[in-house]
This record gives sequence, C-alpha cells and structure tokens, in this order.
Amino acid sequence: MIANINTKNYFSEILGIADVIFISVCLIIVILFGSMISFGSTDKKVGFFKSKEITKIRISQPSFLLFMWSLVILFFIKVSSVPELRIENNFFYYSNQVHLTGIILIVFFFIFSLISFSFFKKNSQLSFEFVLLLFFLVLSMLIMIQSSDLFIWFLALELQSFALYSLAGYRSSRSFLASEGALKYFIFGSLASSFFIFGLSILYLNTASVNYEELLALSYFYPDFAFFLGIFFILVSLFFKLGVAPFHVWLPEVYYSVSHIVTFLFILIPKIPLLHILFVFSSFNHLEIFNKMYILCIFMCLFVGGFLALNQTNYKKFMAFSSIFNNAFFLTALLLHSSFSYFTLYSYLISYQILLVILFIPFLFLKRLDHSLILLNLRDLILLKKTNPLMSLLFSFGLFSLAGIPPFFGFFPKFFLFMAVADRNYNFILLALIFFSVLSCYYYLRLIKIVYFAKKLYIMASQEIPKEIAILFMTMSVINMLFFFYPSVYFVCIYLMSL
Amino acid sequence: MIFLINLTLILSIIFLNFLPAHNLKLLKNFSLITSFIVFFISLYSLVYPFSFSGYFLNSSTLVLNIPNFVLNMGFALDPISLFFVLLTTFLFLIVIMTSFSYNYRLKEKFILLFFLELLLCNSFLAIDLLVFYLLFESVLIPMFLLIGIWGSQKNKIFAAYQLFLYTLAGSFFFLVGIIIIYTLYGSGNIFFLKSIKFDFKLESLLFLLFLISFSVKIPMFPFHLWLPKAHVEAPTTGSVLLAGVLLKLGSYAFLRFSLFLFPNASLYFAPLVMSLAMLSIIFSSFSTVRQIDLKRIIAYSSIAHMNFLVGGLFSNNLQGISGSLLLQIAHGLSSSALFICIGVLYERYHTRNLYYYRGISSVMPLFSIMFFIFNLANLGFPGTLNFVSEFLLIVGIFNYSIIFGLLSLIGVFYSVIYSMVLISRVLFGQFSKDIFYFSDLTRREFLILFKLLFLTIFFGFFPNFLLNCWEFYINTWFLH
Repeated sequence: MIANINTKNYFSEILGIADVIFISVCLIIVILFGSMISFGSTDKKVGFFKSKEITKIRISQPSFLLFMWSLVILFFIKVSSVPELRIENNFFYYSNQVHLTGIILIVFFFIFSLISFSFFKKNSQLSFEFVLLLFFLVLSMLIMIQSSDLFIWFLALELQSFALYSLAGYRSSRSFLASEGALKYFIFGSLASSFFIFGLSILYLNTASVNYEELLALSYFYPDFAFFLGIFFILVSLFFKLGVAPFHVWLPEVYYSVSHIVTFLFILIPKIPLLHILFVFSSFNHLEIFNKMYILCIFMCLFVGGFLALNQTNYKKFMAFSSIFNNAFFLTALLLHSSFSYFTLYSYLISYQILLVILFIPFLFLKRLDHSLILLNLRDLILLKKTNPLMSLLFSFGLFSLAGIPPFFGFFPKFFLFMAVADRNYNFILLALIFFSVLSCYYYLRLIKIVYFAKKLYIMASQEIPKEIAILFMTMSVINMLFFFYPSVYFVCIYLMSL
Repeated sequence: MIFLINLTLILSIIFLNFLPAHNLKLLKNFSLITSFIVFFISLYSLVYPFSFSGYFLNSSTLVLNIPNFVLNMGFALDPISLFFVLLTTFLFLIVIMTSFSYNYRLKEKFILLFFLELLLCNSFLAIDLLVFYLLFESVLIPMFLLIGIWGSQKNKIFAAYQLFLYTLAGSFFFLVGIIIIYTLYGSGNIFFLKSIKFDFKLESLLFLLFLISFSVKIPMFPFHLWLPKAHVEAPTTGSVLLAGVLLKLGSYAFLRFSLFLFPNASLYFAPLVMSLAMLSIIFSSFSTVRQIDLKRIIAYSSIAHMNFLVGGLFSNNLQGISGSLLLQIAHGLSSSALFICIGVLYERYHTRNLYYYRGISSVMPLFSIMFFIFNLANLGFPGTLNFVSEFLLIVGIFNYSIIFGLLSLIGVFYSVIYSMVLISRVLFGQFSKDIFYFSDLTRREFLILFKLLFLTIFFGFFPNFLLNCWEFYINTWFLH
C-alpha cells in the first residue's frame, strides 16, 4: 500500500514516529549534558565539581535516571499512540504487532535499566557512556521494529550493533577478557552485517527494490535463483545475530567473556527486535527452500543446545546454550507461518524473558562469601538454600518453569507451540521438540540439584539484595507461580494483538 | 468441597511461612490440626446426597477462550474419586504424624507436603485432560525435592533424577495424545469427548500413547526400575506417599481416561496390557524373594500388587474392576503401614539390611504384632481388605481368561513366600546379638499404625460399603 501523498496529514505522520523523535531528543539532551559537565571537569578550577570521581557519579546517575524516566514516558507514548499511521515513502509502517513489540521492548528495557542501575550502584562502576549506549540501543531498536524498508533495517541494525560492540568491551573485573570478547563479537558481527548488505545488494540488483512489501509481492510471481540467494544471505545474517545453531559459535564465547551485566543485556534485549524482523521475514516462508532452512536450523539448535549444555560449569555459557536451545522454539513458531505464528512466538518470548530475569538476578547480585567475588560457576550456588532460602526456592521454580514443568508459567506457551505445530502437521518436529525438552530438563535439574541437594560446605553465596531488585524478583516469581490460576488475560491480549 | 480443601491448604501454606522454624511444637500442632481439618472436610462429602449414577459436584470454569482452543478447568466428584480423595487426605494425616520424629527442616517439609496434598486432591477430581496432565506432572516437583532433600542415603540424587525423568519422559506421550485431541476436537473435557465416536485407528493410537505414560507411573514392566530406587532413597514420608497415593494416580488415570474414553481400544489392547501386567507381576515377584533391603522388598511387592490390579482393570467385568478399585484402597493402607513399620525399625537401628534383624518379637511385641498383621494383609489373608479385593480380582481375571488367571496366581503364591520370609527373618529366630538397644512402639507410632490396622480389618469384614457405592457406577460407565 502506497500512501496517498495529497491527503497526508503531517501531524499524524509525526505521531507515528513520536517515540523515535522523543528518544532522539532525549539522546541529544544527554549528550549535551554529559559533554558540558565533563568539559568542565578537565579544568580543575572552572568545573562544577572538584574531583574526577565525583564528577563521574554526578554525571552518570542523573543521566541514568533520565534514561529510566524517558523509558516511562516512552511507554505512555507508545501505549497511547494510534496504530495504522503511515509515513511517506513507506519507510515506516505501523501495526498491532509493531505496537506490541515496542511495548515489550520498552518494558524489558526498563527492567534491565532498573537491574543495571542497582547493580552499578552496588559496584560503583556506573559510567556516563553506558547510558549513552543504552540510548542508542533503544533508538535503533525502535527504528528497526517499525521500518518496512530493508535498507533502513540495515542501518538500524548497524546502529544497534555499534552500541552492542562498544558495550561488549565495557570494563569489568576481568577487563582483558571483556576486550577479547568485544573483539570476537565485532569480527563475527561485522561478518554477519556484510552478509546482510551482500544479500541486500543482490536483491536490489535483481528486483530494483529494497522495500519489504514489494519484495513480498514479487516473491509470489518471480522468485528466481538470485532472489533466493538474496533472502538467504539476509536470513543467515539475522540468524548470526540471533545465535541460531549453525551460526552460534560466537555466542557462548562472547557471553563468557563480557561482564555480567552486559551478558544479561545481550541475552535479554536484542532478541526482541531480531525476532520481530524474523517474524516479518517469515512471510517468505511460503517458498519451500526457506522452510527447509528453518527446519535444519531447528534441529541444529536442538542438538547443540541440548547436548552441549549438559557439561557446562560456567553459568554464562550454560545460559548461552540454553538460549540456543530456546531459539529452536522461536524458529519453530516462525516456521509455522500460520495465523497462530505470532501468538505462539510472542507468548513464548515474553515467558522466556521473564524467566531470564528470575534466573539472572541471583547471579548478578549475590557474591561469594569467601572472597567477595562475583558468582561465575554453577557450583557457586551451593548452599543458596541456607543463606537465601526464599530466593533459592523461587530460583528453582524458575528453572522448573524454563524446563516446562506444568504448573508454572513456562509450560503454557510451550503447550500452545506444540499445539500449533501439531496443527500444521509437522509431526517429526513435534516429537523432536518433546524429546529434547526432556533432555533439557536434565540439565536444569542439575542446577536445582546444586542449589538444594549438595551438602558440602564449600562456598556460600549470599548478600543482601537491594530492595527494588527484591520486589522485581518477587513480582516475576509470583507471575511465574500463579500464572496457572488465570492464564486467560495474557493469552487473550496477545491473541488480540496478533490479529 | 474441593474449594474448601484448596482454601484450607493454601491458607495453611501461607500461614506456615510465617511461623518460626525453630518452634517445632507449634509447627507440628499446626500442621496436624490442618491435616485433620482437611480430612474431615473430605469426609463430610460422604454426607452429601449421593446419586449413584454420576457426579454430584461438577464445577467447570472457563479459563481461556481463543479460536481453536478452549480451556475449561473442570472438577467433578464421583463415587470413585471420592474414595481416592479420602485415601489421600487420610494418608497425609498419617504422613504428617510420622514425620514428627525427624526434625530436619520440618517447616519446609510441611509446606511441601501440603503443596503435594493440594495437587493430589485436585488431580483426583480433574475431569479435563489438560488439567489432569498439569497436576499429574506437577506432582513430580514436590516429590523430587522430598527425595532429594530429606532422602536418607547416598544415591538419593540419582534416584530423584530417575523418578523425575522417567515420569516426565513418559508423560510427554500423554501430552502428545492431549495435543492430538485438542487439535481435533478443541476440548479436553471427558464428558464432551465421551460423546464423540473416535475412529478406531485414532482411538488405538491415543490409547497407546496414554498407556506408555500411565504404565511408567504404575509402574509396569519395561519402565519399573525407578520405583525401587526411589523407595530406597526416599524418607519414610516419601515412601508412604509414593506407594500410597502416587502410584494410584497411574491406575486411576487408566480407569478415568483410558477405559472411559477409549472402550473399543481398551478392549482390543487388553491382552497386551494384561500380558505386560502379568510379566511385571512375575518379574517383580521373583526379584522380591532375593532382596535384602527391607524397603526394596515392599517396593517390589507393591509393583506386583499394582500390576495385579491393572490386570483386573482390563478384565472387563464387574468383579475385576471393583476388585482392582478395592485393592487400590487396600494397598494404599497396607503398604504404607509396612513402610511406616520399616521406618520405625530404621529410626532405631539405622539400617535396612534384612540380615541385621532377628528375633525382634522378643523385645518389641507390639511392633511385632503390627508388622505381622500388615504382612498378612499384604499377602491377602482372609479378614483383611486385601483378601476381598484379591479374591475379586482373581475371579475377574479368570472370567477374562484362564491363562492370565493362572499367571496372576503365581504372584499371589509368591506374595506368601516373600511375606513369610520377611516375617520369619525379622520377627522370629534367635535374638540377634548386634541389637543392643530396644524400645517398643511409642504411643504416636502405635496410634498411626492402629488407624491403618482398624481400617484394613474393618473394611475387610464390611467391604460392601465400598462395593455398593461403585457397583452401579461401574456398570453404567465401564462395562460394555
């Protein structure tokens, strides 16, 4: 659909991208604010504050608070904005799906910023650049989810990748490892981006268009080899970024090397816009070859995520393989390409994100008692049941939920996914998913075993947890536990948004 | 009734969280009173006006309604599920009394037990396939923790894993069956599904899927290895619940879903199920005789009894089905009593080796009487509930086929052998020199065992009370 230029309403066009405009204004304010004050601090007498350390805190904390408040305002803008407003040239589009994705994105950004804020307050490592990069991330992701032009996608993806590359090298206690991880991430990520631009150029040479809807229309009439090749390369690049199995090699290494809070960011946030793009791209699944590619990737994900997670000892690598495993479920939802595709994808995504928050909080906020280091290994959680009994219980409930054991949240989206798979007669995939779910259950149970059954007085993980984090953890756990009693609101909301 | 039970249990779980963990007396009194209340609530449902044809409590709330998918949370009480709920609440009363002797993490244990009771009571009342599946699976979580945390020996983690993964892998087949039903008919309510005439191929596929999952829970021959390990490693509480209630979940599901929904397939596959059951009876009876761990003996004998009962379920006559229902109650009482007896011995001497014990009867007369009577009950001695039920079962299986009847008699014969070996080894003979310390049953232990004894003997003389409740119901729903 091409917008009628004569009847365009400038005001409504601006409303359509009000969130992007708002976040860019906030970004500019933060840059100005930060640069002014840090200019002052170089000169000792003229600056607002005397010592450099205090300056750092004085800049970074207000800018972080500004970030959180801007997210809150953004949330209200997003909720109150009207769907179906289109911008000239079809660069942007708006629909229920974009709406929902944007809201989810903002909510999880807010949760992440809450967690990272108290994390930094505890470790006093917050710096101004972190906030700036988070602003870039929000901006790029918001553009990415509502653009309908492949080139804009690419630009937004690059902006996001730039922010993520820089964040990967963010200083931590093991700073050389972090920079090594950042370099690895940069090399692999830029390779993936080059695949994207390669595919895009092939498409453009072949069809003289990079607009998604035009390409989709063309795919029904004129799918030749070059067209396949272009879409194939773009898909490969997206799979690279998401960490789908044959292209997953960078994922555990990078997760392992970068600092804890950045790992949490990597595992939580970039999935949302990438899965949205892949969902949009899944309309090309009517072509047989991409179906086969998806099925291959699903099986690879199940194998890699299922078997390699079995003998991990490092928590971050464990979670990396677990996320590769869960990618198989996302890809299955995308493969279906039915009316339930979006519904299953998003109900699974939200539950997975909530569980990730539950599973990461203990690792971010607990410290080993013997020499106050951050937890790294799975066995560092021994005796959590003694030091934080309630937390250990809720943590293990989260693990049960991720494994898909019924009364908890994680079971229901899985069940709907299985239903949708059975509905489309992909019986072999259904059986594989079920078999590997049992396998994955084994390694989640291993973690529960460490939390509850180990008797050695080896290392005690404990510390007081900040109040806001405790409230967040409890909220997420209550959602996880009591979802069983009233699942209808959640599913009906997502169903209505998927129409 | 189910609402009241749920309310009481949830409130007590919440309340227990706030009680101080070091005040053991308060904890014990509170949980005992709660379990009494729950038992009396479930007992009160006997008073309801009772129509023998069907369900007198049928609540169904719409939970989810999107196209292609409607989820109703359905719960109903009928003459069969009533007695299972009663058995559950009664056994939890007893289990809470038994767990008084071992003070390790008592508060958490009571919370977990109430949670388990909540799940079990609901699962016996569920009439929706998905709701039943949810509860059937979630029972694993407290069981896993119970064995893992309160287990007694070194292999407890391995045993907990086996319990969890065996049942989980099995019940995923159940899940596949449910998914097939939902995609075809869009609802899992068994009354709705009863009105549908399944295609025979589909029906037999579903029956086989359900069979795998339930036979893990029973447990039947190829999938039975988890049970003895779980029993050996579990605390007394866990063993009592496992033998008393959790295994019944499998046989109850056979009755409620397989026989009820797929009558043709269950008639067609009855020889398969019967022969599997007979195989497992023979296997487990043979292996019981050569066990030297006391708990393993009871565990293997309970496998034999459970499979005996499955044979009765598929015999397709009144005697067989009512006998198997009766044996579920009887086995729930007698095997849990035996596990409590072994728990009593284990608390005093900290070993379960059969050769350690000799001539206990000379120093523990009261215990010996109890142990003797419950062993007699376990082998099906006249005058106990087990006798009536086994008699009915044998009649039912003989009616179905003489060969299966003869095979099942092997199990009965062997039960005499192993029970007699157990009695003569433990109670009689020269008094062992290794035993220095002796004390007979305490008042609490006597009270626990006496309740079970009373019920076993009472229903052994008056089984008609139970049988009359079921007769019309079985005739209308399960016989063709």
